[in-house]
Amino acid sequence: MTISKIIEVPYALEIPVGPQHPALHEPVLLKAYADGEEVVRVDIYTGYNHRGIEKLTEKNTFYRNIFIVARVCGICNLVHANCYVRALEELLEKYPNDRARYLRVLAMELERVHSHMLINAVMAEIIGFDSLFMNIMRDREYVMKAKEVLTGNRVLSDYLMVGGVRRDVDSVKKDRLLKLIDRVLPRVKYYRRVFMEDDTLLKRMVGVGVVSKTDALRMSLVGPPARASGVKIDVRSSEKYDAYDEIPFNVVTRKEGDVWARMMVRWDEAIESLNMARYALEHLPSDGNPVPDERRLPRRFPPGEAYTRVEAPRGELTYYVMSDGKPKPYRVKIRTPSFINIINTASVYVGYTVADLPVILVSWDPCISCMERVTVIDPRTGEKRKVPVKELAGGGSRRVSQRYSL
Amino acid sequence: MIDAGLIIYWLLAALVYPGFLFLTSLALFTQYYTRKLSARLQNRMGPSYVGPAGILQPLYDLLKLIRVKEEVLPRNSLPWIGRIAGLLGLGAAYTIPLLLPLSILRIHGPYDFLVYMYLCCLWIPFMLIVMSLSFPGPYTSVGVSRILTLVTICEPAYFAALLVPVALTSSMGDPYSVYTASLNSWRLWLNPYTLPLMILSLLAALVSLQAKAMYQPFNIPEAEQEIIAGFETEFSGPILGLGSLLHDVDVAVTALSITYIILGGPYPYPHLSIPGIIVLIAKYLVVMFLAVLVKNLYGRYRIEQALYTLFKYSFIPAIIALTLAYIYINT
Repeated sequence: MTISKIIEVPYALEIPVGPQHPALHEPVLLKAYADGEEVVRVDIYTGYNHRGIEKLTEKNTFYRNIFIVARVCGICNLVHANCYVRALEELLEKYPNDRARYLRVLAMELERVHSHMLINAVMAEIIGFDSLFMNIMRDREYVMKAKEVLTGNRVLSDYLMVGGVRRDVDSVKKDRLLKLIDRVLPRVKYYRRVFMEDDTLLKRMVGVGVVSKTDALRMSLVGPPARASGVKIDVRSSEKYDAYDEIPFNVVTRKEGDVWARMMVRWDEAIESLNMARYALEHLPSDGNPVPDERRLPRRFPPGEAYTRVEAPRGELTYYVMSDGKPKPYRVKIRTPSFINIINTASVYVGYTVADLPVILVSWDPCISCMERVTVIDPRTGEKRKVPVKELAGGGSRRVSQRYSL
Repeated sequence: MIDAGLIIYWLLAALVYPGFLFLTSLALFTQYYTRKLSARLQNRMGPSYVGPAGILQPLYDLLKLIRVKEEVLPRNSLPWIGRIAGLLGLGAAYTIPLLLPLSILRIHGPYDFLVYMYLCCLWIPFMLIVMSLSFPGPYTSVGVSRILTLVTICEPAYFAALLVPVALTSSMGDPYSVYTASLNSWRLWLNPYTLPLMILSLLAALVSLQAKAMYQPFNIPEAEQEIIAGFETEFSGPILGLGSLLHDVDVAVTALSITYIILGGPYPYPHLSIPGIIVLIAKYLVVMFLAVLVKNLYGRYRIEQALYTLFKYSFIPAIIALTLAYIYINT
């Protein structure tokens, strides 16, 4: 008898996670290949949410761009605006006064608190712990309220302007902010304890998605994922922009490097941030009006380039702004933390189960709208070419030396 | 010669009480109770528009799914097999209350516990799996494999937990009868020798109820954030309504069985007395309240953690209680 037919049984099951998936609140595709419950390979595809913001900034004036870059990301709009505004200030060599610098730090730290609370709540929801999710989101409203008192809006604040901020605080607002911070701080400490002690959370997070310190450095992780692996990297302490040189704070690091450590770093940072916010309010300098007269700001920018960094809630965010003396910038280049944290970590998922996949993904605090980069269109041939993300990150088929990669 | 009155009586039992109409209402009320209680535990409103305090919301949802929503069929699906399996599962579930003293037509005899187990633990999960497999997809296959893994421990544990009162009461009437156990299990709670066995059996049954109902921490087969909706991902329209009704009826029947077989139903009071009805309803609500409370106090386990937990808190207590029960019977 001869063999007439060979049937190949694929050993791996292909499970697409995304671009529309209950675990993801933004469109990204993780194509997971699973052997039973075990993940054997993950491919990351982005490009579902590209909005062409960098190009848009070249079409608009320097001042309009403040509002455009704030829309790169909803959660961390203030840090985007801050980074861009500081680049403009470097170009103009026009710096804000002390009161404005303190107010900027206050607003950014409030933003960090609500961003960290949000992602911890999302983590609880991913684990299936709905009641914890609802409770954290309820207490997050206090922080949103504080942000509203300070900036005038809960989420998209548009609070920053070249040379200062757009609103001052008086003593009434200061008292309200202090009261709100006093209300939030015990709740954040309580949730930190829940994450330390709760049975389900520990079972699902401890020992999952471990990244060693070497790997964190090799993958160039930034922000809380790097700090949770013991890499002490924080732009606030190394750059000391705005008032971070005067406000005392600790850079929180942990050694474990797993999902749990990343979430704990976020809780500890939230507590640090609330303390910083209180310090900034209590030691608010009174050296003049922090609100610049927008009519007197220069219309034209001198030719030059500026490169600024901030510590966003998700890690190091950088802006490169180039001016050629015209009313519009020649080039604005944004490098967001999620871009690095998501696409460089495809190897971390391998070996864990399908159930761990969304848990690990959420632990990077993905901000998909931040990381969209490229759409390859060839209008002449109509050919579609997929650019692997690795290539964008400096690796892939056109691999150059690791030293020169992103 | 069959009496016409008897036929009407049978039909009444099968279609109205405690069959189709009553059990469907109970299942929908249980869904409402679960949703409202979960919502209040999570600082939400819960269902509140349809009917007084939103009590008709599950019925509205069901009608909407069955009558309004479109059925989207994936490739390679066998919708007729799915529908027939769903109806067979529902049929098995509607038969179960006839075995309990709740029914106006009491079907009982020696060893009818095996019939109960056959209907409750074999037909309902099996039909759910057939339904799911007739609408295939990648998430469905992961969900079904997870159900099968969970069922291997949760159903034997449930069987062993219910066997404890059934075995202990088999000398009081028909041997190994659900009816006899329901009538007499309240006596076991007053006997100091059988009280610990009943506590262990109740613990095991409640944990396996949690797993059968797929509530947290055992909502692994339908883990929303991992595999969309697991085994029911490809269900849509009427078949989704059928699937969710089957799930709700399964939960209601399981909770009702625990209320009767382990907790003793309304006894020692008769059914048609005010204290009897109050005791019965209170026991049912307490059983469901515990399930909802655990649902909201836990997140979802991974499959191996869930199996370990089920083994530790459901299977082992049930086996210990069963062994001790047979030792008690033979001494």
